[in-house]
Amino acid sequence: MAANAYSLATLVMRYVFVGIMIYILARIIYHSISEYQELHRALRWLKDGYARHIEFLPPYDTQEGGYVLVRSNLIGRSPRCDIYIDDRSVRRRHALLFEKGGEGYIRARGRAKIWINGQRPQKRTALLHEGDLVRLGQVEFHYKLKRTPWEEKA
Amino acid sequence: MQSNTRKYIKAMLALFCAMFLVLCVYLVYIVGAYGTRWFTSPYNSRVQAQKSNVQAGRIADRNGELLAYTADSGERFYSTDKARRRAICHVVGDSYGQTVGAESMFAKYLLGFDQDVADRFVETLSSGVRMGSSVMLTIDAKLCDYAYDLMNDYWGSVVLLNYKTGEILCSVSQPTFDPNYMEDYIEGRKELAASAMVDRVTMGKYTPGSTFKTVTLIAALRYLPGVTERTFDCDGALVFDRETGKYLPDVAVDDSDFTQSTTQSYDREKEGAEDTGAEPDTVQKYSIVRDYQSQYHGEITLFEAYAKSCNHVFAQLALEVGAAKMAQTARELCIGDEFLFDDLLLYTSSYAKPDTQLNLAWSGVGQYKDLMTPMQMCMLTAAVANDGVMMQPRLLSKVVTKNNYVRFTQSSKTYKTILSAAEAEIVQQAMLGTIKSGTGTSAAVKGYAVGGKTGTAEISSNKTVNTHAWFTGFVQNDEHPLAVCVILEQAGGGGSKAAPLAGKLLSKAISLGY
Amino acid sequence: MNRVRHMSALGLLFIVMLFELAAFALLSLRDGKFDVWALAFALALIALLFFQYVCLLWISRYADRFLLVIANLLAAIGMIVQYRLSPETAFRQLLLYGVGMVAMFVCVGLMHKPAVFRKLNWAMIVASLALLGVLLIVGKEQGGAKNWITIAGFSFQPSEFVKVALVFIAANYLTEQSGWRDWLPSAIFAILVCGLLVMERDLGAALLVAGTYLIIFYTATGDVRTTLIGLGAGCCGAVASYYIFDHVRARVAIWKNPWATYETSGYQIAQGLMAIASGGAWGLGLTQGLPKSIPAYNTDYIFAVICEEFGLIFGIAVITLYLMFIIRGALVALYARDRYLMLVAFGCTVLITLQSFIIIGGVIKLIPLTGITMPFVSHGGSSLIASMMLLGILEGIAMRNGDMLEDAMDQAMEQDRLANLSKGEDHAE
Repeated sequence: MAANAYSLATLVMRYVFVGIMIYILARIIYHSISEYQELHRALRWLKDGYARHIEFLPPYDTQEGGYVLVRSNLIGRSPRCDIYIDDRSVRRRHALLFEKGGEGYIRARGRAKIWINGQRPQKRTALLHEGDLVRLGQVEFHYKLKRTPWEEKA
Repeated sequence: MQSNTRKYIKAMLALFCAMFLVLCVYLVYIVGAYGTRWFTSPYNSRVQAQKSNVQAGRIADRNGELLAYTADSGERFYSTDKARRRAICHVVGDSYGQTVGAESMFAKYLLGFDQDVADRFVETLSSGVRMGSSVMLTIDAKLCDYAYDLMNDYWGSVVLLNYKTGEILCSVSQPTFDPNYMEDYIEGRKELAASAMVDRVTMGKYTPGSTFKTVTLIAALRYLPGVTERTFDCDGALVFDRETGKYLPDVAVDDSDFTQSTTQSYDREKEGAEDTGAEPDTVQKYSIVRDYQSQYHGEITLFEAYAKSCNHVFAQLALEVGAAKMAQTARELCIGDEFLFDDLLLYTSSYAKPDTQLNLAWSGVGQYKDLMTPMQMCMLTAAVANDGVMMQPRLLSKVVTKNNYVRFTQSSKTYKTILSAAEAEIVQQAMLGTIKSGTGTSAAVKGYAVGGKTGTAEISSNKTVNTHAWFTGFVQNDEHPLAVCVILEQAGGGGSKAAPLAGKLLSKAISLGY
Repeated sequence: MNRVRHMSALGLLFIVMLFELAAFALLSLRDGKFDVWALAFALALIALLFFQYVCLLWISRYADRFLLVIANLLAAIGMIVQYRLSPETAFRQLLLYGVGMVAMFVCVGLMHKPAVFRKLNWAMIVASLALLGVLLIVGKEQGGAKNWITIAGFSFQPSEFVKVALVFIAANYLTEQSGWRDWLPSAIFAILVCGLLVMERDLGAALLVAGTYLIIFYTATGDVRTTLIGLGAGCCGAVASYYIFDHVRARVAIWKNPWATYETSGYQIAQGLMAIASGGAWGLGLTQGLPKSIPAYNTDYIFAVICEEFGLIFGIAVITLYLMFIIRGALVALYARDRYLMLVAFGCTVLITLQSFIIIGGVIKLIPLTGITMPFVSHGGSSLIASMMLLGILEGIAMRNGDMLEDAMDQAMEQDRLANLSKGEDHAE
């Protein structure tokens, strides 16, 4: 009986093992793809020198050169955000800056309020243009598209 | 320069991906194609080892008659009837891995390898002895008994197929063994004919003799346009130069000058299951291909030549078609195919491409190095009867778990379409002629249209060695789609020995409703 | 440097640990009694994996986490199977795995100063040739090939380490691209090593060395003609070895049809194929198969054991794991910032590729069987340590890549800032 139960267990575990393996593989593939997409984007930026980024106005302009934006950036007071602002007027997860179809957008999250160039946007998701001044709470930043030349080190 | 290296790295990476893809695909392919074959190999100790954990399930024929079962003691028993045991011995196999029958081919089901988790769960709870599933074969044991009885003491084989589904209804091969005493045979306590464990139906490679004329006929239909309208003049032996084998159409000889020149002996035991063939008759400068007992037919049509099994005409046809096209036709008819069926281990038949015209003519009438298994011959006839579609022969009907739950029912599969419907119709017509007015009249079944071909295969130039008697045929009736092949080793004439047996078997099968 | 979003591989790590725990839990209940050593083994593996992960990421956050996970997963699968076969060999493997881990960290450290390897070039050449030469004289035979040396009670296979050295030596000479005078010494070295290996009857290693060198050569120089000449010479050598060595003839014969000579030479391949076929898609279940009927079940044929007990799907997953390792390794090479590191990284990748392809291909009868081990999975200290070294080298280069990329991005943003400054104020708001 015990031997039977054991061999039954091994039979069941066959499927478990295969399932785990497939899951591990899928995750590796998925993560590899997204990791390299990001890397490729960064390299493209280095090559073409063209990237969206935001520059905070003082006193938050601690980062030299501003923050380079990737495809999707969460801005907020929580340390888990991609761009972290330590200011009580900013909500924990305040806004999402993302790219779609070659254009940059900003979307306020939850009940957060954002101002673009001094005005509240009509819809929750707003298109951003070069030089737009965005305000979240008391923190302001410029949205910029910059060109920089860069030679690849041989 | 550096970006070039990058390019090459990417190229190499693509190559590596392709390599590994090939690896995966190949792995899946070989396990899919050969997996069953390797698993059921007698060398696979896992199957034997499983027997200590699992009691093998039962084997029954299509009507539920018990052919093999495991007693509570763990011992494996076969039918209680002695004659029955011998009749089905090759189909069912043995439990010591000595033969390739249902016991080893279906070990997957019989020994519980196919049980899924749910079954095992239930089994664990019930804590009895583990038992494998039972297997129901497509054969009818009564038919096998009948065929075994008809064969008498002749060595050889009888196989009966349903040509619409490919089901094997009867498969008997002699010499036989008694599966209940397999252990005694292994230990040497009981005597056994040396090749008794060879299933001649699937593993016997015989010289087909005149039954091969069907292939020549098909080749002629394909490559000699208008051959069905022609008349041939069968007026004597075809003469060839002895040295070069070249055809000499203008030379005529007197048959009585010819006697055999070699005294090649033929040891039935030694040859086992593969014939080595016979040489055409020769004397001094010439070799000839002549008709059986020098009976020449004069002016005849193609169909008459087929019905009367005229060597002259078919040797001539082979010469006209040519060695390359004959070989190609043989290939197209699956002669030379390596079969990978899950149900049975079928050896490859062969048609060796002849090098000289003499050998070409000789091969056209089923001699030279032509070798066919009875199963393949039956499959060919079945394809002809089935409008050119060759079905995959199968032995497995159903798998039933020990709780009498039908796990699955095997369905019919087409193997290959080898003839167009039009070609099949012509060949059917020729075959019907054989039974109506040709060499196969003794295979006739009252009330049904039967077609076929007889064969008398010379296996040795030594005329004291008798010929193999062949008959292959079919019943042209949708209710009784039967195809049969009989070969009786060294029994004499196909029309006189094999055809009557086939006829009786066909009537019996029809009477049983197949 | 702002955060390029990093996907944490911790989740993956936990799943791998779960896998190991599950497998060893099953093994621990094997005989009805609870085997505490199995669980201890699992915990040791998990601890080592976690340790590696944490340490590597502590050294540099650009360490390639997935390469690490794949390599460790493969090693774990190997050890699970070995524990199932014989716990003693598994514990030995665990010990060597620990040593391999240390070797890996050493290599990671060394890759921060890759110039070391250029300086040690001649030392490596001499050492490799000397080791192989010594092998020829005092080497112990195993499985028809003289490839073991015993020093102070430890036996190891020098050919494994020579392969790693080959990658560095080839990269050393092929980095400059000024003509054949530059790379000639490396080609001569490769030929000598091949020759020595052939003389020692270690034809699998010779094939590996030749293939690796040719591929590195081609990617470095793009010289199709010379590569084809080299390939041709290699093929001639292979054909010659067919006629000279009868065991090569035997290998080719059993590749074509192992069943014909089942009793003698074809036995191994036939048993392997039967094992794989018996496994079916899902496998027979851990401990439910009969793997010991296959010769070399611990080393060359471990893949057949995996397919038998874990199933075909799992086997294909393992092949895919290797492929992922290769792809990621090649990506490390592609993103390398300087040519030398690019060649070294690619060389390591090629070694793993060829080795895994050749052995898996041999087991499934795609190509004739050669006696080499499956990287990470097979039992064999030298093989495991050398593979871990390769992993360490790749990780080191990945870290360098990341650091250099980060520097480059910082530089670019600095330039950007300066450019803005000189343009005046952008938007005064």
